[in-house]
Order: sequence, then structure tokens, then C-alpha cells
Amino acid sequence: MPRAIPIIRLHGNLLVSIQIALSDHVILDLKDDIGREIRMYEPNGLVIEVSGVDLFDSFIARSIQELSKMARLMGVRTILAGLNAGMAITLVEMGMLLEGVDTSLNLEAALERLRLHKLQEARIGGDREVADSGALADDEFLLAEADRR
Amino acid sequence: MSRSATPSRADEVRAVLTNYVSGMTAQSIVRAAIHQVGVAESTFERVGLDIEILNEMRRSIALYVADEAKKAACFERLTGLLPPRSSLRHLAGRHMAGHELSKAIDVVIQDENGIVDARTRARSFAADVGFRSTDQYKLATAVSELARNIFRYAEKGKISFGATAPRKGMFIIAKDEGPGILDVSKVLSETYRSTTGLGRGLQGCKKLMDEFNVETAPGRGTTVTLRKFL
Repeated sequence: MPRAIPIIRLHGNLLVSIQIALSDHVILDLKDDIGREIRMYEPNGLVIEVSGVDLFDSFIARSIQELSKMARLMGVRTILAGLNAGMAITLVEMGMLLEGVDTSLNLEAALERLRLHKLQEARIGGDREVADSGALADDEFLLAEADRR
Repeated sequence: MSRSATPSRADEVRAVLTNYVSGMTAQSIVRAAIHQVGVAESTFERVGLDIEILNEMRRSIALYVADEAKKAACFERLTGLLPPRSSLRHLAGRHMAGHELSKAIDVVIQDENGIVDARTRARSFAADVGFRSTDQYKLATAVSELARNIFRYAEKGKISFGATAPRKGMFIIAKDEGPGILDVSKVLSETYRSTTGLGRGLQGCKKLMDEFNVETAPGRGTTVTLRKFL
């Protein structure tokens, strides 16, 4: 059976772009699929892009939170991207703040954060090869920024 | 006179009307309607029908076309000329004719698809009532929570929503004949967490809406009534 939601491998990350109304079983399947992909692909990070989701109710929010926790336990950082204003306000009013889930405004910002995160880890880990390969002058500046925060 | 080769949206409207009334009458029906709604003739030529103009036309068509079947056919063809729903959105805020909205919508919840169906229709209904985008999300989210509660706890039930009057807004009623809730105040308290985490859904609904009411007793089903105003 084809997946309802494709999981794309991109620059060492997994990208899940949800473009459909999420029914309960779709999101449960997604959890399983992502778990499997993480084991197979050993990605640097996971981006869940939700700009095409119809809405975020408590079940969906909780599922995303669990997904992110699951990925973290497997050593993978998750970033939720593309939450729109209507969804964000609704979540805030309902008191569901998605604690523990990193968020970015959009896909581009999410991928950039994962890239910097990887560079940072390479530096700390002393992996000069990775650290040098990606770290241009701009990155040095951004890394310094990230360090300060 | 040579206008553009393709008929404008306004021409299409006149073409439909002349099947049922004379050309002159058709013209006067159009003029009267756009005058009543306050749309400039040039705008109408460019944009064509909207729901308000159509409602005005309905009245005069009833005057000029006596035959019920023809009246209905004419109106149906005109309705077909309305722009797609998305471009109607901006009109919803102005005002919609009462009879367009008075009809409540019932959605039966007996499987997962019902949850998505209910919230999708609730959102578009909220848009038609004139709610802003963020409030459309809130209403649709509330419907989603209630629909899911029905599906999980009662298996089967019904969600109805419609427009409120005289104060403009939207009501949502979720009704089931399931096991009911033993202690509502406990479920609604901030500290409550059900094993499935779904209790937060009901708390969330309360926070998103202006009015919230639960009628329930163990073994007697649950009825949740929500209201939100513009």
C-alpha cells in the first residue's frame, strides 16, 4: 500500500510534508513509517512541514509531540515547520503549546537550523572534516550567534 | 458594436434570463438587482453575479416568471454562474441573505472520515457566516474535538451546526447516546488528563468558544452545545 504521506530524504534529513487533512489512522501510520525510516536512513534531523494541514486539534498536536519525542529518543532532532497563524492562535488558546517540539516558520528556516545544528555538533565533536566542509564565513557568524543563544 | 469575442460574466447572466423573459425585462431585472445591492454597473459587467445580487434577482424573477418549474430552472442556471466559493469569501462579511444560512448542517459521526468531514464543512460554514480566518480555525478545531470524542467514546453520534440569530454567530451541537460523562467538572478541570489525553479536547473547546454547555449523565449520552459570535 502506498503511503498517505511521503517521507522524503533530503540532504541527510528526513522531510515529511503533510498536504492532506489528517485523519487519525493516517497520523498513526505516519508514526510507524517515520520510526522505520529513521532506523533505515539514520538522518541528521527530521522536518515535519504542516502548511498544508487543514487544522491542528488536540489529537494531532499530541501525536506530533509524541513523534518528536520518539525521534529524540532515537537521536534525531525534529523541527515542526509551517504552522500558520490560525492554527498557532488556536493551539495557544487551547493551552497546547507543543512543549518540547522545535518550530520554524517555514521549511527553508527548518533546514537551515538543522544544517547549523549539524555543524555545531561536528565542532563540539571535533569532526574537522564536516565542520570545515560546511563552515564558510557566514556560517562562522551564524554559529557564533547560535553559541551566544 | 464590437465587444470582446468571449461573452462577459454579465452577458452570461443576461443570456440565461432572456430564455425566460424578454430582453428588456432581463435588463431591468439586472439593473434593479445591482442597484439594490449597491454594486456599480461597470463592476457587475466585469465581475458578474455574486450571492447578494442573485438573491435580489430571485425576487424579481418570481414576479416575471409565473411557472414554478421555469422559475426554479432559471434560478438554478443563474446559481451555476456564481463564482467559485473561494472568491465569494469576501462577500460573506458584508451580509448573507438570512435564508441562505438558516439551514443547519448535520454530520453523522460513525467513522474517522466523519471527523474530517465535519470539521471541513464547519470551517466553510464559518467562512460563510463571516468569521475571520483565525476564528474559522477555532470553530473547525472545536468541531474536530467533539467529533473525535463521539467517535472514541460513543462510537456514533451527530454534529449539527448553524447560524445564530439575532446575534450573528455560529452554534455547534454534538449529540450522542454513548456512555455519558461521570463527572463533568472533573473532566473540565485544568488538572484532568484522561488516559488517552482526549479530555483536553473538551477543555480546549470551552476555551475557544463564547458559550459552552454540557448535558450528560452516565448511561444517558452526552450533548455538548457551543456558541461563538462574530
